[in-house]
This record gives sequence, C-alpha cells and structure tokens, in this order.
Amino acid sequence: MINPFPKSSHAEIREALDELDHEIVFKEDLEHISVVIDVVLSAFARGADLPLKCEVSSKTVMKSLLSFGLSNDAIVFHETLEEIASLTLYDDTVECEQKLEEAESVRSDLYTAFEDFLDQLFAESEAT
Amino acid sequence: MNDLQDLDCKLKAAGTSLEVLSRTADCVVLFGSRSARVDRNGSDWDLLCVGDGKTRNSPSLDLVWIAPKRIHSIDWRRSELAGHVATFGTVLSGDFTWRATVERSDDPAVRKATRLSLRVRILTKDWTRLAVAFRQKHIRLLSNDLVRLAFLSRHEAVPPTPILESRHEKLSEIAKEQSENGLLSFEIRDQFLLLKESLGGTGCCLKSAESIEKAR
Repeated sequence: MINPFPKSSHAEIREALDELDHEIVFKEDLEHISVVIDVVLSAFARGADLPLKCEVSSKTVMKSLLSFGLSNDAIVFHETLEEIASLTLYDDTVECEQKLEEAESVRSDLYTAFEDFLDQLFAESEAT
Repeated sequence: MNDLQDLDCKLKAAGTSLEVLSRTADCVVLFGSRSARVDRNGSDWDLLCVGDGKTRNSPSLDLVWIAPKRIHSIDWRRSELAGHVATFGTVLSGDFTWRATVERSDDPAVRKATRLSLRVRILTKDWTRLAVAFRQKHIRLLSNDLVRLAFLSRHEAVPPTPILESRHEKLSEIAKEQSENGLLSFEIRDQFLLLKESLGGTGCCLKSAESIEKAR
C-alpha cells in the first residue's frame, strides 16, 4: 500500500490525536469531541489531499481512510457519534446518556485505531 | 409508491415494519419534515414510538423509542422533542392523547443556549484547523441551532429543518435578539457571526481568519 500522507502531515495529525486523547473529558465534552474528530479528519484529509464535500464530509474522509487501512473501530465510533448528534438535535437527554455510555466504551478503541493507523503509515514511509 | 409504502420499505430494511410497530408500540407518531409536508427529495423518515424498543438512526430513517413511563415525566413533557412531536406529529397508530400534556418552559431554551455557546467557543479555538467542508458543516449546525433557540425562547415548538433553513438569512437579527434577551452573551454572538462571516468571499475569509486568530 502506498502511504498517501506526506511526512509533513504527521505532526499535525499527531497533535490532533493528542488533543483527542488527553484534553477531553468525554461525557462533559461531547461538543468538544465532535469538533476534535473533525479536526483529526481535517488533518488526514489535508495530508492525503482527500476531496471533501459538504454534508457528507465526515463520511467521505472515513471511507477514504478505511480504504487506506483504518480499522473498523474508528468507523463504529464515528457512527455512534453521528447517532448522538442526531439525538442531541432534539435535546433528548436520556437517549443521549445511553448512547454516550456506548461511545465512551469505544473511545479508547478510536484513539488506538487512529494511532495504530498513523504508526503503520509513517513507519512504512520511514522504512522506505 | 405512496408515502407510507416508502416508509414501510425503509422500516423493512431496518428489520421491522409499520404493522409490527403498530402491534408492539402504544403509539406511533410520524414527525419531522415528512409529517409537516416540507420534506425534500431524500428527506429521512422520523418516527417516534412509545414502548420498549431500541432507538436506531440511519440516513433514511430515525426510529426513536420512548419508554411508556417516561412519556409522562416532567423532563419529557418539557423537552424540545416532545414539543416538536406534539405540534408537528401525525399519529399513525395508538393513543396520542399525551400530546396534550406537553408543556412549554424555559428549560429547553437554556439548555440549547448553553450547548450552542460551548460549541461556538470550541469552534473558535479550532476553526483554522478545520477543513472548509467541516467549517461549512458546523456553521450549518450552529445556524440551525440558533434558529431553534429563537423558537424555544418564545416557548414555541421547533419546526422541521427545511423551515429552520429558510430563516438563515435572518441569522444576524436572531443572534442579536438572543443576546439582548440574555440567552447568549454578546461575546458568543460576535464569535458566531465572525465564524459565519469567514465562510463568505475570499477577502472576507482572510480578514475573518485573522480576527479569529486574534480572538484566540
């Protein structure tokens, strides 16, 4: 597989990932995490020059990353976030609480999935 | 194919059907743009079922289950969703008399304003790191929430998204109104307008990006 990400994008993606891992207290920070996920995806998209379209931007990037080898854990997490977003649309606090429990349980999987993906891509790139 | 047949197809793809829902739920209500007849090509179907079932969302179908004991709770009766369904919902089966118990209060507006303010702060901090498509997405979400806030602050039910979007040309006035009534701070109002302005023409975008950098 050819690494589509230039080395210069490594630091930007790493910084976004670190924010996701360290700066978010998940349940209290739902608004924050959904933006940071988009910051991570923006960094990937810029690095790989992925075309983004409004409305489906997150899905476009996720799909592309999946084709580059991103784990399904990240996709599951992202879908859970989208479900939460549609619930918070109507401020349904009880349903959100339940979904948040699910999302919280896969948050570390998301970080690990992104990190493994990143390590693999840049390790391969450095090896070549 | 008529509308309900289309809905039934979507439900069958999700592993259920209108007939099953009618049998298992105390009440099935269609809400959102389809119910208000302002749907567009590709609009999803929104259904609220009272009973014990699993809420699920897909691009074409939002199936929301509310437990029977919750339907009479004060939290639910004062919620944004209850207000919306009671006003714009169309009952498909069962007992919809609970619609008369829905109350208007300040609670949903206060919650909406708090969340909106938090998102504006976070977006201001991360704005320059977001790809343009994501900026557009978040401005659209913020804009819809700001219009929702305007309805909630007047104790009115929030209408479906196409109606919210038709009010986007009045966003500046709405933001001003919400800061004057104290639900949004002047700082948040200005930050929101700055973010929105940054999606305009290139010159405007560069100028605003500099302002946003300074605001950080």
